[in-house]
Amino acid sequence: MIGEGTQSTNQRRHNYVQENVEVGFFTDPTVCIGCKACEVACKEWNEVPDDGFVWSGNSYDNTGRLGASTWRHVLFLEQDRQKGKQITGPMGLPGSQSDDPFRWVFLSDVCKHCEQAGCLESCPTGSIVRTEIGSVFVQNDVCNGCGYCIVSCPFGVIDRRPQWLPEAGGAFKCTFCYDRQKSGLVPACAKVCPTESIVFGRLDDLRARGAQRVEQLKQSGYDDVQLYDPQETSVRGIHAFFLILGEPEAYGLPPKPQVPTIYLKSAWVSAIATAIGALLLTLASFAFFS
Amino acid sequence: MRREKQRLGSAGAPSAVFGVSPKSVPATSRDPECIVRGAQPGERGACAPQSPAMTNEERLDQLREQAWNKGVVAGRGVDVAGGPIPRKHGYYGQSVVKPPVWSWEIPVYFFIGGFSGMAAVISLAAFIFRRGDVGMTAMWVAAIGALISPVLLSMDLGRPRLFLNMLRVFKYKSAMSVGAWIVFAFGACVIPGVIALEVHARQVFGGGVDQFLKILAGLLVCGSAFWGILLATYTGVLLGATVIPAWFYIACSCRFISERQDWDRQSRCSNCSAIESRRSMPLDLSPLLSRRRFGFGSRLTNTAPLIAPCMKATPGGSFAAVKSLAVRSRSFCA
Repeated sequence: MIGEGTQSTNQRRHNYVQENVEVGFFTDPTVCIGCKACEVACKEWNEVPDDGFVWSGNSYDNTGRLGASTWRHVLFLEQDRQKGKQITGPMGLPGSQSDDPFRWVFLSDVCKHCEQAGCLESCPTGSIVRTEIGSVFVQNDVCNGCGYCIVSCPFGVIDRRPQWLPEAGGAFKCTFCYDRQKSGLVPACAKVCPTESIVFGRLDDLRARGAQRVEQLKQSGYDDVQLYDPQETSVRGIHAFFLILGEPEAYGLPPKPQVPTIYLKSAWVSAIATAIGALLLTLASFAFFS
Repeated sequence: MRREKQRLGSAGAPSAVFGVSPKSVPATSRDPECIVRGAQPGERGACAPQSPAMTNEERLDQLREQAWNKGVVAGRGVDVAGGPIPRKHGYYGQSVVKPPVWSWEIPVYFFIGGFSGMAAVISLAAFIFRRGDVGMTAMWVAAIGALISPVLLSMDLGRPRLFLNMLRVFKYKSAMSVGAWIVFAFGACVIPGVIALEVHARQVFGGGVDQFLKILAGLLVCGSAFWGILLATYTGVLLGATVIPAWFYIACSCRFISERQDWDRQSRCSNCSAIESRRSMPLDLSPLLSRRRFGFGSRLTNTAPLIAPCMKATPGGSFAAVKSLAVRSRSFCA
């Protein structure tokens, strides 16, 4: 936490991997300044290749979205709403009389490391595994790039790396800096975050802190603040959870994410019914027409 | 929305400053074709009302007016992905889930896999009804399909040389893993089955060996029919058990009517608001549920321009169409 100096969980060394402690990220947009240091640190530490430079025109967000070569992504939202007890005034063109509330919200998006992960359940090679610290990890040397995890992720995080980039063809996403954590280091993005908008720590501590922060902000006049941690859906909670202002849809987060395995039962029932029907039809056609 | 309308009012203000109100723009110049052509520098003179004298401000006003009236302005460089007009759903109009990365091999495989799988079933039925010639031909068709299918599947992989990793584990919760094993088991039944049938038909061996071959061929034909029918149907599960709204929506709609009503009521299947707020979806998927799937004349005609380019004589036409639907349906943020 900010103010704790070297004793902050973002700075001190730990041995969560050895102790099998579930860890997480808590990302708080109210203190994020949109510096994108997390994006840079992630790319540098993990040697993620650049995926092109495009001016998107979406506020200051030229990263686009999470993908095979973007594991941290700072969202830039421009909303016509008030932020806390912000003082608003006429900000439009000369002549406009009305108050014009405006807020700029930054949120560092990342793989959510779901409790019940769609990519992990759908991976046919067993390349995606769950680690001791509860994160979801893609073993790059096992992945054969079938692309099924991409259509199984309810958050649209994981992606296949295109052919012109190094280590092409495999599925990539945030590793939760598993290599760093194994040697007692904090994930790169949390380490560099200058305002500690990204907080790294034990998951239970972070959840408590998140609830506390929501209360604090509500008292300071942030009416539409909420925690984004879908524990009541089939995803059963996420390890990298967010505090958001307003609706999750505006952040590109599904309000009710569902793991696709919940559709398996009905899909298999349909498939088996079709199979039996086709078999009977074939036998019947031979019986009547031969 | 009301807020944005207010913005429109304020955005319209500068036009008054310049002495040109949006109303005074000639009606012909609001033709979208004109604006599109006007946006390209080379053809600026092609549209008569857009004289070179028109200032950038006027043109901006014109575009704004068109944007508010029609919701979208066509033309390269005009409709910026996250541009302020018109404001897009969700995060700058991005879909929540990612589009599939599969290319043409997968729809072709769906066809060939299903074809050869059902060929094996037909072969079994033919042998049951004493039509050996039909059975033999069908087994050959199945065998050829069983050889092509894994090749197509491997070609689509990001790293084809690691295709054997598919058989590294078996996960019943992953339709892809189940499918890989089905393809493998089908091939393992069909190829020896054809060989055994041919050897038996040509009477290469006599006596006990031939009897053994006959029994073996019978068993292998039964096995290939079993795996073949699974091969022909598991692909529905493969598509249905994903987070792509158009795909799981179709898969779920195949359930019995009573169950579906129940399911609609509980909205158990809703991956966010896709089903709950169907009315507010930009792309209404309800025509997909009707018998006239992709039928023109239904409400889906609105999306015909999306589908038409994908339908052009490609083997995976309908697949690509569904893919395009899936990508474009921003039902998650509706």
